[in-house]
Amino acid sequence: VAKVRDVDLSLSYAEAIKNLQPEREIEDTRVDVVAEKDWPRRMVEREVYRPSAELARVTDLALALGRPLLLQGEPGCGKTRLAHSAAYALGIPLEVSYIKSTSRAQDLLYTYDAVRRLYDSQLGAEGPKDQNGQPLARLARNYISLGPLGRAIARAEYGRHSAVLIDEIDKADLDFPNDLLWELDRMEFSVPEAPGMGHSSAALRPFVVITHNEEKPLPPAFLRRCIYYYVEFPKTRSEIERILRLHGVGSALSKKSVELIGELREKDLNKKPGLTELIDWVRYEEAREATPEDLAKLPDIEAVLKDRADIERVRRDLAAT
Amino acid sequence: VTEPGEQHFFLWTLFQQLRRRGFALGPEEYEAVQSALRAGFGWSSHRELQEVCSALWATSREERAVVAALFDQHVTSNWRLDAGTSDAPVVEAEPAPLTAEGSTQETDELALGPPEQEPEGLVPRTASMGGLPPLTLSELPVLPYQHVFLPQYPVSFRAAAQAWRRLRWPVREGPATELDVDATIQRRSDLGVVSPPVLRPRRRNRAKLLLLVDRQGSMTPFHSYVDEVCRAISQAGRLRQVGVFYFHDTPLEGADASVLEQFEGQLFPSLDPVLDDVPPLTQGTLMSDADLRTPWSARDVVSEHGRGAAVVILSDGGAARGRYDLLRLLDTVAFLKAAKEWSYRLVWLNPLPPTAWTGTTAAEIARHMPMFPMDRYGMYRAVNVLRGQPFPVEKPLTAGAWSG
Repeated sequence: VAKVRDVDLSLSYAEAIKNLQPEREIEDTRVDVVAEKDWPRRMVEREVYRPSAELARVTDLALALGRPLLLQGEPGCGKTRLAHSAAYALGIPLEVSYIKSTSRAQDLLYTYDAVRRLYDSQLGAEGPKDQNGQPLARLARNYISLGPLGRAIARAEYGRHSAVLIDEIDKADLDFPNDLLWELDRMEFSVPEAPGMGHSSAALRPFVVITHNEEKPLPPAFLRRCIYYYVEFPKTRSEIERILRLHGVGSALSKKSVELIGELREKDLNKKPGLTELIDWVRYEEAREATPEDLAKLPDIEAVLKDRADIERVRRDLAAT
Repeated sequence: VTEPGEQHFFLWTLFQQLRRRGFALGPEEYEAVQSALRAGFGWSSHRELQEVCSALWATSREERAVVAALFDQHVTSNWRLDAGTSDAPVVEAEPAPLTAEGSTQETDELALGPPEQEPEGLVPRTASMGGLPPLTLSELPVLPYQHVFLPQYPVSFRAAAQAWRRLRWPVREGPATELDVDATIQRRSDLGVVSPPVLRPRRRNRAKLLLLVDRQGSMTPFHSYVDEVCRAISQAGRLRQVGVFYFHDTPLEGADASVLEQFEGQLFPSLDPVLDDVPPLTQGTLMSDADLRTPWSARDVVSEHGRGAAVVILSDGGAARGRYDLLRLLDTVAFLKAAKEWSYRLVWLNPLPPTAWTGTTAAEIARHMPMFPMDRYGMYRAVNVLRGQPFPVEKPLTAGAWSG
């Protein structure tokens, strides 16, 4: 049972997003070992993303309470993008973990390369050595590499924030979320293969964003530890227009496309077009220098509609008018 | 912190109502909302407070709808503190408790936030109204909230999935990626020289399942529950292959009824005297869609989904109608005899409890094959049987020849 944690109000996404530079320097995550000091940095470009005011507030709530943020919603509504945007806005490194059906909870924390160690040990004195001239194979910790969550916890132990994106958690085994309960609750882990190795950060909690596509239900024990938010398709036209403008779409085209997408979404389609599709489509049409009148004929609609029956239906409706 | 006691803080009432609706909420979750409030979240508007509650208490879209609806029942006013939302209001003061006989008026004031926000010097006054005001239908207020109806099944999706995940037939197959420690040590000591490690493929579940689902007629009330169970099994059961086929009353129909001739004139004859003579029923059609419109020949179903699969029949077996139907029993027994030929395990799940089986065709079927009620315990026992646990029945059927 988790003890009551302090509320941490030091980070606010809603505030940070108000004023963003086109690029900024953030700690580089593409390294093997998380350094305690003198960590490498790299320039990161701004993430083009516009959260709803509600989502920004809920993100702040998750940051303050130190709980994972669980995002659900239609595909292509920017669940994954939020993690990138938040990490950029807060200036913290983002560790990404794309879940596959074979992913195990432990992989998020660390992996142990027993096979390589065995190979190395069989080479005996000829095997690879560390800087003191000792064979690497002598110590298991030389063959441990931390996973995304493990690195974030290690970084937190050194007093630095990070964001962790666990993308599409429902792709993994049913046990996967349950196996993470302790680590997400306590933000600590140890490596049994290498006694004495492990990290814990009681005070500073990495910001965990989890996306979920409703493919499988998640266990209640896991859900109750999360902050839950359902990312909806933007409700007002002006909001979609703003998002399109953010992606550099001119106002004439964006106005027309928002109108069209509204009509499309009102039809009883098998798969409703999402924001990602809309943005791709309109940006392509803009690059082709299409006019709003061209757009009304729904050219290249395959970029928006991904179901054969839907495309045929929309084409029929278009021909009828 | 308002202690839950005689005083009812409206969030506590909301929390209790959600718990009654089966939300997995504990004291920790209640405390979470309180710490969020203490940290300054949820004060600037009615909507924001609702957002805090649903972020912390809801875990799905449906649950969000429930939280929103219940929240609106308790907090009927919309408020906004537009000026300077960035500096959160002081939170030490506790919101006014809502007494048991709290009127709507009080709720409205409550929703305005901490007491210091209320206008000072508000003294309740009474005034004579002089009779009831006239009331017309158009003046009746529209309810400020909606009711939410959610299906609640005897076994939840997750519980069903958990039960069926126990059906495993782990086989190592695919690329060799896992280190086989024992084999590696064995080889090393056998050869006495340095040898490469031995790898082996990961374990995968090869269990196959064929679900045969009774539709329409007496099964109509159970459609959505049965669908939910089928969905849970096929989505979350982590089985290698799940085939779902539908039928009406009996999986296959048209068994040779000539064996029944000797029973002419009897009211409730038992099938037992001719059990061995019932020919296996191999011909016929099953439907691949729930509306019973797309037929598949039984032969194709067996060759694609049936062979080596565990078979589950989901049907009331005539128990819902409460009748004993000899022809139905004959068809069922004839099908089961044929099915024994190609499947190693069969179970029957009945949406009705065993007390309802008595005196019906279902009770007779249960004498020939394992039949369990479709509740959580029944599903566990069904999976046990499919896993190979012996389950003696009164009159086991012998396999018939499958001519397919």
